Amino acid sequence: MDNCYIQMNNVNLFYPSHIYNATTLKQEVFALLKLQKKKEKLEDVHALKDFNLKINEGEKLGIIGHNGAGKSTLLKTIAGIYPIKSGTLDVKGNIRSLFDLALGFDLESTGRENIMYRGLLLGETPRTIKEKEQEIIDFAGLGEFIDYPIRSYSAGMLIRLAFSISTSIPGEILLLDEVIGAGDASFAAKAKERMLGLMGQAKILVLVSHDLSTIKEICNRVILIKQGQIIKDGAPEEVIDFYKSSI
Amino acid sequence: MSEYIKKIYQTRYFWSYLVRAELKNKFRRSKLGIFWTFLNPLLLTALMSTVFGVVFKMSFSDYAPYVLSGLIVWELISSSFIGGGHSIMSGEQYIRQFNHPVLIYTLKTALVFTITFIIAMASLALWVVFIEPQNIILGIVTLPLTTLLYFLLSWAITTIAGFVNAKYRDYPQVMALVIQAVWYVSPVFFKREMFISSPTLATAFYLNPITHILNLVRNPFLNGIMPSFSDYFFTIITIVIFAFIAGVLNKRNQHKVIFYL
Repeated sequence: MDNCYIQMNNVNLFYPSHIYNATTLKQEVFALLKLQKKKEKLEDVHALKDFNLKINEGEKLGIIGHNGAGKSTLLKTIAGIYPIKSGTLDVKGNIRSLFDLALGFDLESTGRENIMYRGLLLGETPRTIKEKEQEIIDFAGLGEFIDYPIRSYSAGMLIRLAFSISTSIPGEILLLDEVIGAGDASFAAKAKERMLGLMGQAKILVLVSHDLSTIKEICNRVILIKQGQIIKDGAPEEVIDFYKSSI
Repeated sequence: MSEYIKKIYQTRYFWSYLVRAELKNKFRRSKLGIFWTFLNPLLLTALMSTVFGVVFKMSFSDYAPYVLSGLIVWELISSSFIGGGHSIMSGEQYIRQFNHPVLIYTLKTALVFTITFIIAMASLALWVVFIEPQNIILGIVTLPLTTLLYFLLSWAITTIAGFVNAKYRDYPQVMALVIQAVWYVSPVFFKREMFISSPTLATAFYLNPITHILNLVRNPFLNGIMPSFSDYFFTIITIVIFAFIAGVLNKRNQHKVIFYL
């Protein structure tokens, strides 16, 4: 069996500026007729610069850096969500990404229906989800509320359900963006245990977090990112100390 | 290409569930549910046929099925153009988290429109059973191919609309205006006789693909004859043109579209 890996060579990623210059058909037509000046163009944002990174099987990589350094961008690039402008990205292994858990729920549908939804979105089949359904419901601890439309849920209940579903399906490569804990104190303990279990099953873990102690606890390699480039790569202790001293 | 189709197939559970959920939500919100989709064109037809029938002095029994068939097909076309604009944007939350093919979101919308069309067609079929029972067999026989063609047309249009609307947010307003204009030159409510008053109009009537698209339903259900070769020809050419544009748009924008959401 092949080993899982993630390899990025000279990857460049831009956020094109025209997305900030929202245009309308009306403006386009007017600009064409020279009735209205086109808006001043902003520069493209160079989010990842000649980025090189190789992550091997067994590595639990933590990504740290200031806000806007490109941490989440990097994660979404690995997940194949953002298109790269140049360079190569090669990923071996199936990716499971947990970015924003509460996104993509259908508020009109019941909790039970949303379990099906989410599961299918994550690439499961109706049959495999039915098998996991009861376990997910039990873990979320929602009781009879599972058959209510989820717009009746509190924020905490929603996050518990989201967490239960998302963590019930393992993957070879796990991409996490600041989603370690969820819900109230009693649930948070349960959640952490489950998360650690999920991380243990993954062959590669990539974790973005501002919580340096969590990174130190979980990861065996850390990279520090600044303005779309790696400025430090190494053992957690070393990189975190470097980061702290640079603040 | 085949890789892309494979990916769409692999996510079939997901998008087919999206279709079911959207239909369910659509029918859950109104008390009459699915019955409303069936009833709505009938009520509109009663209204339109009465008004237009008086204005143009036509017999209700003749004119009403004409209006009904026009209404049902027009609904599919106009909602693909206007409502289809929302198709990719409605998948925003999924697109932001997963790199599934973007076309599955326009596919979902097209399927919802097509299924709505089939339900609405039941009202026309019922009407025909009472008025012209001899036509119903031919109608039912030609319907599967017609539905398939309509679905492909709807998917192509929805894809174009979805990409354009993701970039230009004023697309639905502009398109609503365009569609309204097209309505006036199409035989949705207006009968052929109203167009042949001048030769220019008659030519425009013949070259308008909507005439032929409508004929796919009208010829078998109302007139009891097979749709002509030119009806199929015009419809398929229209599909090919829209599908080509949709394909180009998808190729250029499928990865970029996330930046517009």
